[in-house]
Amino acid sequence: MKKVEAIIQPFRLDQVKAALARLGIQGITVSEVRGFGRSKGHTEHFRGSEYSVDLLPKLKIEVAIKDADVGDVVSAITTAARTGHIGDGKVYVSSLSDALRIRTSEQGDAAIS
Amino acid sequence: MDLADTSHPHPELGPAIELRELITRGRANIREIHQGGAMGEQVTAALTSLCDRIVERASDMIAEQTGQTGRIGRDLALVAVGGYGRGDLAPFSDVDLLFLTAKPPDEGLRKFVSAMVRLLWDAGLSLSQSVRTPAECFAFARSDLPAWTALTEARLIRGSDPLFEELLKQINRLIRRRSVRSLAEGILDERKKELTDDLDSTVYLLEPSVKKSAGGLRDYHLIRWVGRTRYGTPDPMGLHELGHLSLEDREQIIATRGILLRIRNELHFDAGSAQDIMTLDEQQRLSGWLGWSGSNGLLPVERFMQDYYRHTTTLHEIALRFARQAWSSRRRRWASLLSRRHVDGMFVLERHGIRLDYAHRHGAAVTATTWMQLFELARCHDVPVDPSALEQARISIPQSEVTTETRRLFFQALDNPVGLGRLLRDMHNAGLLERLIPPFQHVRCLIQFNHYHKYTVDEHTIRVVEAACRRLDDKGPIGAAYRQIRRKDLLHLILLMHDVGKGYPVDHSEKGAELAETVADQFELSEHDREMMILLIRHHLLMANIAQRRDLSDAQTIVQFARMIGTPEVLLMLFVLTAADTEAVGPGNLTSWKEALLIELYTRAMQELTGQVPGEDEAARAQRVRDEVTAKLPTGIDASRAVKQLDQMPAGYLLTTEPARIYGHLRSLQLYRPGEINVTGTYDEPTHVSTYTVILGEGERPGIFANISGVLAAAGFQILSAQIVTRPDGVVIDTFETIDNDWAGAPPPERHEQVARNVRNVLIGERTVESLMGTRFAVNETRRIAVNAHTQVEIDNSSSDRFTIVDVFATDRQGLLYVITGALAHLGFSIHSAKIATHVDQVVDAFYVTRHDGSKETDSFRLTLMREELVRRIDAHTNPS
Repeated sequence: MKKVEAIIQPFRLDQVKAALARLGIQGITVSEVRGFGRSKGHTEHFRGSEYSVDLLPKLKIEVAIKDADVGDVVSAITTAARTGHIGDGKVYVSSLSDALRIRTSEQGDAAIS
Repeated sequence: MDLADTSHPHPELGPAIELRELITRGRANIREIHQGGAMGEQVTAALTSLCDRIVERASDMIAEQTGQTGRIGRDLALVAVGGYGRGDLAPFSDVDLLFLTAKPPDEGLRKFVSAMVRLLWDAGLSLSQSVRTPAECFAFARSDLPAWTALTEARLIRGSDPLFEELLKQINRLIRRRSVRSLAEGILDERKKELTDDLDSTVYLLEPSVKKSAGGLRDYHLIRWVGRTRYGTPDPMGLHELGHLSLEDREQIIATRGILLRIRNELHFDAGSAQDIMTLDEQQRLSGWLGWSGSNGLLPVERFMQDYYRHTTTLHEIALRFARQAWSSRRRRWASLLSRRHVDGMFVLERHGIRLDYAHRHGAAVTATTWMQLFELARCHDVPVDPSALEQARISIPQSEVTTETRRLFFQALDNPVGLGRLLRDMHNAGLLERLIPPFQHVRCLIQFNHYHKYTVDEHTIRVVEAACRRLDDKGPIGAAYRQIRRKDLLHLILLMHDVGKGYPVDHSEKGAELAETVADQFELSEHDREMMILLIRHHLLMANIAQRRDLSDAQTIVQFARMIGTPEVLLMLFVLTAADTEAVGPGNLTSWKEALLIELYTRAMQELTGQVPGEDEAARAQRVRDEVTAKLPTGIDASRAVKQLDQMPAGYLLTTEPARIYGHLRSLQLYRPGEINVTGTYDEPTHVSTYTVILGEGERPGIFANISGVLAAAGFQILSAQIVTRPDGVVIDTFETIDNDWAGAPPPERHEQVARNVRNVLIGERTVESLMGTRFAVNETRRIAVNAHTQVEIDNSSSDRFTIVDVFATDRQGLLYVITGALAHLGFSIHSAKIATHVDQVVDAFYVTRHDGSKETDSFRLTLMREELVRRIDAHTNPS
């Protein structure tokens, strides 16, 4: 099993959700996060205001998936989240040693289907 | 004996099983009566009787078993206390039993008591027992308030009468002994503590407890305890007869009690346990069980809960008022005599409260205006309103007439943010708020049945106002914006109205806008104020939606948003409204994450509408920019002259101009001689942008900007953006970024010189723009003209002290800037500064204008004319027919 974490622009959420739904992914977790990448939050030359922040609001999407689905899921997220501008975000893939559905105690692949 | 064999149970369990069956059967019978529609009080009375019978039966059994039969009537009394004593047991309530003994119990009595307790527990009762002598009761209750309040409800079940009499004597002794006031205060403090221990102490938590939440049974008990302690009787009927409760209050108490008991009984029966909380699921089920139907845009559960909350908020208010009144003793009055003042011929102001004077309490006409004055005075002096005044208010307000004067006073009061939330709550509790704003009546206690909204609509609305007022001291951008808003009275009125459209079958923003029209008329708002109010209510969700769901770095998003807003004044209000609205949905709802997005949208939109970067303390930030720029001067620029020039530059310029351009200006300024007109043109290869900078020292002369725009338009330039800076020393620096349509690549130097020549000639009056245009002003038809966004011109005359801000939204077309600036000059306005921006085919221009003499235009008629004329000329230019 793998866990896919994606940091995306908040306004691309609907597109990413739709793309995952088309793949049949049943469940995702979304959290409000803040962060920056190489460009330190500057997307264009913006004569800074008093309150300029380099920790920009983003969304983090997490899904647990079967090994075989990694390629499709990463590709779907990337395509849906991309705008082509600085600030589009990142996708991380990590190994998941186990997963459990709390209500029924199903484990492994059954828990994430 | 086989322990699993239930047909021959352990002998000791025999009585328990018998009792258990009695209880189960008894409860089942009572449940049937309850299902049949019996009132809450009937059911609890029946349950109490059932319990009495169980206790009696148990005592018979145990007395026989332990050989103590004779002693019950003599040395022991079985006394019900607490809720059991009161007689309002719910199906699975705790049973509070006091074993009252004449003296500390001997061996025999001890055996009796322990066997009783075991038996009753085994029978399934939730027993809470104590064993005391009357003197011990006295001692214990003296120091423990819950013990005291439980004791006041004592009721003899069976046993020694004289012993019980002794207990009553001790109770009365306690009342006389401890000062009455401190007892009553103790009860109220306990209750307040209980309420604040809940996470959020309003009646309106999503899932109220019928027992503990504000307005629940605890408040009814509070009235009983205070009544017993202070006036000698706990019963509302008795209190009314003695004159301590008005008829209305009495009726309200009894009605609410009935509702609460019936609901609690059903909650217990359904759960089979002591369940006091109305979860969302239970709310839905109960609304059906009680027979509520939906209507006119409201679900059955919403109507049910609105009724529930209306009753409980009233009960809560009565309980607090009753308790406070109970200890307004004469002694306290004497103490505050020194601070007593008579105010406005109608009110008495003391340290602990404000009330009506004698004449007005007893007969003299009290109008709605008087009440408005009273509440406002209470707020200003930060004292509570006296309970007697509140009581009179509740009765008199529904019938008193609201006049223009009442509204005027209210509107005036709205302008002051300090303590405004408190004022609104007082007015709302007394029913005055909905007399002044009639649509507010519909949303009183209206719930929004979802997991998201924690408060009823009226509570949410008042919290929105409080959230906004708290921004007064906020150091961030929201606070800065709030402080900048001049018309706080209008803002607060809009906040009060923003959700009044809820609870109808139609979209609540639209409904709210519709209702706002009537209220605007009643308050006799100016046309401008009225339009702002309707616009803001109609679009009160817009900013939150865009901030969270649209790409804020996309210029189109900002432009469209700016168009809908129109002016900086509206943007300020919507910004504050959005932050406050989000905050008041529930605790923790306005995260710094959401705030960051909101602030970004605000900043970008404000820049679009004014060219300025919003924020306070411009001067300090501008100085920082000066320092930075001076520190990094490129070669070729003389440092000391640069510093002099920078000192003259206004803060707005420094904060919005890129360093590269600043250096360009500094270079040009080095070449500039006073009296000259300096025109420089540069070409940037990658972007194909030709930048022209014109520097002159005549100060704001009408038409400079228009003339330069005209020259450029006549020469076939497409103006992308422009910046005007007027310095205090009279130097004007106009910078235009253009696309030179005559040249595909870099234009030759002669081109720049020709433009410079033409500009100078026009500015000194030797040529006119028209003469230049004669040769060239064919509109460049090959540029695609977008399908249309209509022309929009907005005037903001209040956001700036010195200038009128004119925002123009239009479709781009060659020569448009000349048309606009020419019109402004022609109508008698001077442009002090401007931000010109083109986004693909959309133009968003902001002009800061004054009259030709430099003063700010104040005649709204002239401004309206200007607006209409601008729209007309722009339309004529973009759609020549």
